[in-house]
Amino acid sequence: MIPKKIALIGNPNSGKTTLFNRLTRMNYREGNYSGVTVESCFGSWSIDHNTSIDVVDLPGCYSLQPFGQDGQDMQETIRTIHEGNFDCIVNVVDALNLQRHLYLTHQLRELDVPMILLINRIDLAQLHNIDIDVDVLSNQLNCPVLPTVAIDPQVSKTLLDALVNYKHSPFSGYKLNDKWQSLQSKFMQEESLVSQYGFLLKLEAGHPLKSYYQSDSLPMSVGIAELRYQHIESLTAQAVVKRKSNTKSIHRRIDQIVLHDWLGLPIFFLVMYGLFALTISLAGNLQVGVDAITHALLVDGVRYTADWLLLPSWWGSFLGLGIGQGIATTLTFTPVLFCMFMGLGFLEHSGYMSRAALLMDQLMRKIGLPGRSLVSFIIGFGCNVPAIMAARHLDQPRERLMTILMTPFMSCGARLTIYAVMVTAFFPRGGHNIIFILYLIGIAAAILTGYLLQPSLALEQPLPLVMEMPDYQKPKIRLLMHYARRQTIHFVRRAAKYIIPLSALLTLLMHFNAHGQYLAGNQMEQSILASTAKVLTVFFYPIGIHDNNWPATVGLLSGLLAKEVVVGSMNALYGQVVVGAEPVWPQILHGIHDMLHGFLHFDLVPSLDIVSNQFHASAYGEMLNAFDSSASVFAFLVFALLYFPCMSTIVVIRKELGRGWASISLVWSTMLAYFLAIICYQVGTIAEHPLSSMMWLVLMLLVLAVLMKEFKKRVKKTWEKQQYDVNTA
Amino acid sequence: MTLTQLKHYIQTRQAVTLNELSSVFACDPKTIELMMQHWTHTGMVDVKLSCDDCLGCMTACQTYVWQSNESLDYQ
Repeated sequence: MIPKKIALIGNPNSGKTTLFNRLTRMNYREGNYSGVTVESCFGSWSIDHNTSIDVVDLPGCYSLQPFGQDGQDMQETIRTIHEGNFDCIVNVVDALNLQRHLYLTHQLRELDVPMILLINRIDLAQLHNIDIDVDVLSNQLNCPVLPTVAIDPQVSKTLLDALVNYKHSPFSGYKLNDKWQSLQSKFMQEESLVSQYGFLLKLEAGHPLKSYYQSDSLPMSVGIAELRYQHIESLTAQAVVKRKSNTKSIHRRIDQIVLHDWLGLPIFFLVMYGLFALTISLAGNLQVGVDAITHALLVDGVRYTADWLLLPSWWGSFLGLGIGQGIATTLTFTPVLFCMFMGLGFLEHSGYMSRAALLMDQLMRKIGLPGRSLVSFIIGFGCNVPAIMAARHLDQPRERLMTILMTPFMSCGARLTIYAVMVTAFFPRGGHNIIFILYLIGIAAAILTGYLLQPSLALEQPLPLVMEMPDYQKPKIRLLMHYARRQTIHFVRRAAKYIIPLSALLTLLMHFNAHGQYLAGNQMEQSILASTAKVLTVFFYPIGIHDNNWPATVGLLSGLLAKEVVVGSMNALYGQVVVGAEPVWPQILHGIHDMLHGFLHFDLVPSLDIVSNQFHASAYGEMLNAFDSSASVFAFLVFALLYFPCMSTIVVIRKELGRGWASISLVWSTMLAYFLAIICYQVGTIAEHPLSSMMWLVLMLLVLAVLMKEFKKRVKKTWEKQQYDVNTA
Repeated sequence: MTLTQLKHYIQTRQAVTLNELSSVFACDPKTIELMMQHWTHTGMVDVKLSCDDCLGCMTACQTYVWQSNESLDYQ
C-alpha cells in the first residue's frame, strides 16, 4: 500500500533535501555542508494522475535526545518526530559516515515506527573502496535498506518500490545484560508496553523509572548510549568492509595545502579573486550580446511597432522605455549571475567551500563567533533572507543575534547586479578588482559589527569548529548547470516582479508633470519624478551625486524595496533621454559581432573596453556622463553595498529577532554606509580639493566614532531589556 | 569504538585532544565530538581549548580533560 505521508530524516548534510527535490520536483536550497535546511519543507510526490505522497523534509539532527545545545531547527525535527504523524520514515544516511549516522537510525528503530533506511552516496563509498553489505544491515535493523545516490533519477522508483512492498517488523537488536533486562521488564509491566525498546528513549527523556537504574561505572544516559554504540560497532564490523584506498590520502594531501596554517587564507582569497576575474571576463562578453539583442527587440522594437500602429507617443514610451526596458534590464544581468552561481556551485560541489568555512573559523573566533555562523555568511552571498533564517541552527541566542546582525553585510547576488553594470560601464579595465574590493568591504563591515557587538553581548570564546569535511569531488557539469540555472531563474523571477512594474511606473512619472501634461526630451527635467528626486539628491552631495544625477538617487531609493531594482530604475531613467528608436537589426548584428569578438580575444584578466563602448550607445552612455568621477561611482557602490538591507531582509530580521533589533540593523547599516561612502569619495577626490576633503574626513571619522559608541550602547540596552523580559516571563 | 573505550583512553591520559582521539580510533573528528558529548554532559570530562587564544591551527584542537575522581578501571 502506498503511504500518504512520509518524512525524510537524518543527520545534517546526509542528502535529504537533494532527495526531497528529486521526489517533489521542487527547488529548495541544497548544500554540501550541514545546516542548510533550517525549517521543515513540505512537498507532494506525484506518483500518477490520482496518487501522490506528502513528503516532509526535516532539518538534520544527530540524536533524538539532544543535550540542550542544539539549535531551533534540530529541536523542531525532534518535536515533529515525537509527534509521529507519518505513515513511514525515510532515514537518509551517508555511506561515507555510516557509523555516525547509525546512532539516529537506532533511535528511530526504537520508536518502532515504519522505517526505510536509505544509504545515500553509495557511488562515493565504492570510489573509496568501502563495501557495505546491505543484507546484513537489513537483517540486523529489521527494515528495508536501499543503497542509492540521491541525485540519481532512479531513486524515486527505488524508494516507491520499497514503500509499496513495505512490511513492518519490530526491531530486536541489542543484547541486554541482566541489569537492563530487569529494568526493561519492570518498565514494560508499568507501561503495559508491547514494544521492546521504546523504554530506552523514555528513560533518556527522564521517565520516573530511571531511579531503578544502578550501575557501577556508567551514568544512565551514557549507559543507554553505550548500548547503541556497542550495537553499531558490531553492526559496522559485519556490514562495512573498508579496503585500502589512495583517495583518502590524496584528499589529505590536498587538505594539508589548502588548510595550511599560513597558506590557507591566502589561497582562499586567491580562489575568490580568480572566481571574480573569470566571472566578469566571461559574463562581460555575454552581457554585450544580451544587452544589444534585448534592447533592440524589447525597447526599440516595441517603440517602432507602437509608431507603426500610430499609437500616441506616450504609449510608445510606456511600452518600450517602461515595460520593455524593465524586461531588458532583468535579462541583461543574467549572464553575470549565471557565471557567478556556476563558480560558487563549483566551489561548493567540489568540497572546497567547507574548507573555506573552516579557514574562516579562526578569524570568526577572534570576534567571539562560532564557525557555524559561516553557513549563514556563505548562504548570504546568494541571498540574505535564507542566510538569516539559517542562523536558527545556532544554539546560543547571543550567537544567533550576532550572526543575524552581521549577515546583511554579505554582498548578495542582487548587489552583484549593481556592481556588474556599474563596473562594466565605468571600470572597463580591472573592474573585477573593484568587485573583489567591494566584497571585502562587506566582510570588513560585518567583522566590525561583530567586534562592536562582542563586549555588549558578553560573548564567551566559542570552541573551534568541528565540521564534517566532505570529500573532494569533480563537480558534474550537468549538476552545476542545473544549480546555476535554478538560482538564476529564481533571481530573475524575483527581480522581474519588482523591476518591470517599477520601471513602468517611473516611466510614467518621468513623462508627466504635476499638471498631467505629457513631456518629452529636455522637458522631462520638469517631471514629477525629476523635481522630487532633485530635492532628495542634496543628501548625496557629499558622496559625489549632484543635481543632474538625480536618477541615481531614485535608484537608491527604489533599492529599499529590493536591491535588484536599483539597476532597473537607473536603466529606465537614463534610458528615457535617448530620443528616438534606433534600427533593430543593425543593433542585434553589432551586439553579436562584439560578443564573438570578445570571446575570440578572450583574456582571463578582464578588459571590457568593448563592453564599455557598446554601453555608450544606450542608457549607459547617459549614466557615464551623469557621474562626475570614478570616486563618485565607487562611493555610490559602497553605499549600495552597505545601506538598508532590502525590505524582505528587514522583515525576516524582525520575524527572527523582533522590531527593536530590525530597527538597529537598518539604522546602523544605513548610517555606516553613508559615512563610509563619504570617506571613499573624499579620499578619491582629495587631490582636487585637499582642504575641504580633509575637513570632511576628520568630521566623518569623528561621526563614525560617535556612531559606533551609540550602536554599542543601543545594543547593550536592547539586549538587557530582552533578557529582563525573558527572565520575568 | 564505544563510549567506554573513549573513556578509558582519556582516563589513562587525563587530557587528550580531539585530533588524537580521531587518529587513535581512526574515525572522523565530528563522530568523536558527538560521542564525547555524552561524557562532557555528565561532567566527568571537560572540554577546553588547547591554548588561551587558540588561533594557530586549522583543525580540531580542543582538549578533553578527565574530571572525575573515579579510579581507573582496568577490566
